[in-house]
Amino acid sequence: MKADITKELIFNNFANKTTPLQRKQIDDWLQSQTNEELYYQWLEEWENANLEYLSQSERLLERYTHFLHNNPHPVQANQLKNRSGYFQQRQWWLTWLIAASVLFVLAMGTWLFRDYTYYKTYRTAYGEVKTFVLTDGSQVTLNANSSLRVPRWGFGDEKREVILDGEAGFTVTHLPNQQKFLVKTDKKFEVIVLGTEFSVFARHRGARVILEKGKVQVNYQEGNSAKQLVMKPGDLVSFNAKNKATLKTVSPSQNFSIWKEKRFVFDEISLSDVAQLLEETYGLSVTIDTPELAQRKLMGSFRAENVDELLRTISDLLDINVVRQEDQVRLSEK
Amino acid sequence: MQQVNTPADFSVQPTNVRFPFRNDLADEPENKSMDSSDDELFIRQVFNTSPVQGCELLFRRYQRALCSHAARYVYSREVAEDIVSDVFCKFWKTNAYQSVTSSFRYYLFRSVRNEAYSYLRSEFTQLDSLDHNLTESAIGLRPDYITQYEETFNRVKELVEELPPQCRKIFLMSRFEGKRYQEIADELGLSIKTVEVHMGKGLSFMRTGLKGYLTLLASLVFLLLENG
Repeated sequence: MKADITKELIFNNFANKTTPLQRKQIDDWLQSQTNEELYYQWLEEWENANLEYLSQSERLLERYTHFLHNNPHPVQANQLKNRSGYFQQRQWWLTWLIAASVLFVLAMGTWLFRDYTYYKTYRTAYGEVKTFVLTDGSQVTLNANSSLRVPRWGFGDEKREVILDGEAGFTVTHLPNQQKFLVKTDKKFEVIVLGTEFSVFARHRGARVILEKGKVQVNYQEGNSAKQLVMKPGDLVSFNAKNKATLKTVSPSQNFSIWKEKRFVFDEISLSDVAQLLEETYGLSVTIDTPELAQRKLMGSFRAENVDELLRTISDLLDINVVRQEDQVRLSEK
Repeated sequence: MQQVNTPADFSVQPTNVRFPFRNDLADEPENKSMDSSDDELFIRQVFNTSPVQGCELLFRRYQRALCSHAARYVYSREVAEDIVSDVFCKFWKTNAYQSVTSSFRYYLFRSVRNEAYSYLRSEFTQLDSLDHNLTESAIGLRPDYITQYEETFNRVKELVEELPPQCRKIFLMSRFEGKRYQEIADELGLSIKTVEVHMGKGLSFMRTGLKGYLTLLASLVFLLLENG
């Protein structure tokens, strides 16, 4: 077995040209430290002959030399005496340190990853729409490329708070103790509800809240002042880039929440807005050939099971060419 | 894509030089290995008179191969160089040159490789639930077999090759070369949004592809024990 392990074989292993059986043989061979030493000698040789990249040695050496000279330490000559007593004492102290450190690391880990430990995250991929029910009975429909974080503990005990990134529709149950339901977002506003149906849109390009049933209060921050407004059914509040709120009433036919049923309603929306929608919902990268084309408006309501159906519909509606390759989409005049 | 900087007068120590010093080995502290690291003999001698010089010599000799090796895992020049620097700084601070029982090369390569692997792990593993990983903390502290290291960095390479061309280009510009999104967008004539989307796809592709090659929480405990 030992005769089989040659430098060539080890080199082949670095270059991903070995079989699993050969790797097993290599691992067996590496049980001995002498062999492992030889292995690193060959690794050095192989690396120098096949560098992944050329590091800027002069600069790095300079940095290291500075470090060495800025961190002198006294020469420890007689440290080797009293080796055993010193070692035993060190070992006991070591156990303590490890125990304390493990606890610390776990605590740190829990804190650092608090988004994962404190919250359960519901997430949708591009093009996916998911509905689920929270522990208080409230129903949430999450649109594509969105996430909702719900606290693992304490949700519904004293308050109900969730954090949304993207777009979701909520049907919130009215709790007997009048507990409010709070939707927070990355944008500077939050929606407080008593028990209603509403939809929140908080994406990169903008934010809005639409109320279908019940009553909600929206707290938001415009510049340095905290502001508030109350919405009734049929109201739509949209936020511009400066987080200034605009309240309008929308007619029932202009239903922004139809995405839940995989229906799309385009009400005089420009093609460039549609392109953004495609990017957000499906992760596509859309190029529109001409600025004139980008300004063309779409009007209509239709179903689309998936992104290709949607693209075909757009192509028919506007009588244009739509070419898709993986995640690249190109819209051009015929 | 990669900038090649001429190393000027930089020399790498030849690996197979034998010096006329012989049988002084009998006077060395008993725990240094005596056969296969003849090629480090000179450096070890230097440590006796000047540890600073010894460290410098080690750095000169090994840093290039070490940075290259680390880069295979983390796919970033900056991170690779940081890892190698950290290992050398720690080597100095802990007086490791006095206590290593193996060759310096053995110690350095093992350290750099562990750090690079851990970095990769902490980057690309998502914690689905902390408690789930706690139960497997006893196993998989680090790869059980050395060849798993090779498997891992070769897997990383394969995954990068599998990225769609535009995605890969952007991924390398951002990660490997450390360019900012705006720079990439300008250079390639794209919008920042597109660059972001590509990076997102690339990273998520890497994450999925490396599942099963990396375990996370256990490494935190391991790193700590190493430093204890």
